[in-house]
Amino acid sequence: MTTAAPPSRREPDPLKKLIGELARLPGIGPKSAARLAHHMLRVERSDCEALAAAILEVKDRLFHCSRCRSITASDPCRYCCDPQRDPSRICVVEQPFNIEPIERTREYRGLYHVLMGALAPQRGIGPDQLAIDPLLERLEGVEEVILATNPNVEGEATALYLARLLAPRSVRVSRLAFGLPVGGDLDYIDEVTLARSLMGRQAL
Amino acid sequence: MRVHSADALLLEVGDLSDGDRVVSFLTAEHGRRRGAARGAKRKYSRFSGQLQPLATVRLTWFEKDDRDLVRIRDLEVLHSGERLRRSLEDLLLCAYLTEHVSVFAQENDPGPELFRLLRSVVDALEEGAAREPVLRYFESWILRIGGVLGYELDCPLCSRVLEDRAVLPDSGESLLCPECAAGGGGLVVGQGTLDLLRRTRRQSPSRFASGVLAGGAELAGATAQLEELLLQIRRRFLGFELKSHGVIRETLRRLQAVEKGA
Ligand SMILES: [Zn+2]
Ligand SMILES: [Zn+2]
Repeated sequence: MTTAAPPSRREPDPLKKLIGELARLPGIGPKSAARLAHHMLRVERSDCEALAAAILEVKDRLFHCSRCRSITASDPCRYCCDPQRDPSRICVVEQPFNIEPIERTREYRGLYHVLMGALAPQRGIGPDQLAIDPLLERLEGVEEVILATNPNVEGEATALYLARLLAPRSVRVSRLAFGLPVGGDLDYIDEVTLARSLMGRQAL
Repeated sequence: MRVHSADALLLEVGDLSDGDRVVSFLTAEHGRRRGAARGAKRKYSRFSGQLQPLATVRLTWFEKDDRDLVRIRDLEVLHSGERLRRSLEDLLLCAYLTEHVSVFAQENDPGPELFRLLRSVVDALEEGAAREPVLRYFESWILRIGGVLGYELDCPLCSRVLEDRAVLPDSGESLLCPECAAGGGGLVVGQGTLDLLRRTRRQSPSRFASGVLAGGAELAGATAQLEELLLQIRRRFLGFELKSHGVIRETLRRLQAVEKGA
């Protein structure tokens, strides 16, 4: 493994700029940013162009589905349009990327709703910052809402809040039966465990 | 690289990078610190299920001189604090307490008093003490420890003891006697409120909470005034409001509207 120097004042400006931009990405520290930037200096121009084009294409072509807020290139998205899916169930997740692992389990054929986050009072994220009202507006004909927020304090608070908000409505509210470690992350849960937690979901 | 070990209360747990978490914690000896828990998101991590806000743990961590972020080596849960995370109200309260500590505690600054305060408040809540009075207790003590609120309730201008009435002027963080505050506006607090404030100084959080509960409707006015007073002092001292404060109010207000209508 090559080790790259952390960014310093000695780096030329364009490189400094790239390192700065990369370091703003989630999960990328200054060292990783420098390593990535130096990597881009070494590879072919065509590789960099492909990367830049892919980033721009995502920005230009993809957006959030107006119904469920999943990522899509057409509106409504493929989940919302699919006549094979069961419209009487909605699975609520925090982020668009939480949908794919649930799809991979093949245990769920209903619709989705992405909240775009979770309740995090100390970061100023409350009900107003989440797509909760749009969820409440989608409940006609819905029999079950499955709360698949993360098994951590923020996801748990969000699930408890939604359960109470939904209690007066005539829908069944269930929560994934996490035999999952508390403090875990849906992203890091294997398919078997996730499938099991979907099948064993419990009424709230 | 040095290795440290101490009892700690976990504060906020967040994402760091792939698979890793960052957790802030409070110790008596080292104050507030932030540490990386490598691999904590993974199912079979040794940190799995252990990184919970307000859990009391025995921590061992590595520290490098040039780094703010330490690396957590071992963590043993002494007290899970699980009862503080059962209901929505509990979880919101956790957020409120931890944000307070994050704002008031300096990184790396020893804080045995703050550690003891948070420990005692967590214990009281776990034993089932009423949330609201325990919060007033906590808010008053964090202001005392922060040097904002005096230990003795006397007027800083004339040293007179504040007995039946005091005024928090429109600007400033100190309660004054009515004479020194004369002519200016401000929040006027009565004997009941001053008395409650004195009790927070002398009593344990559980004892204070049960006293407030036993006082019932008679103390309701003074408790509400105490809440307002502590809020205003804190806001003026910090120059901003805690983020969790507004979010919690809004969350509970919305729920109340729904649950009343149901
Ligand atoms: Zn959709
Ligand atoms: Zn005076």
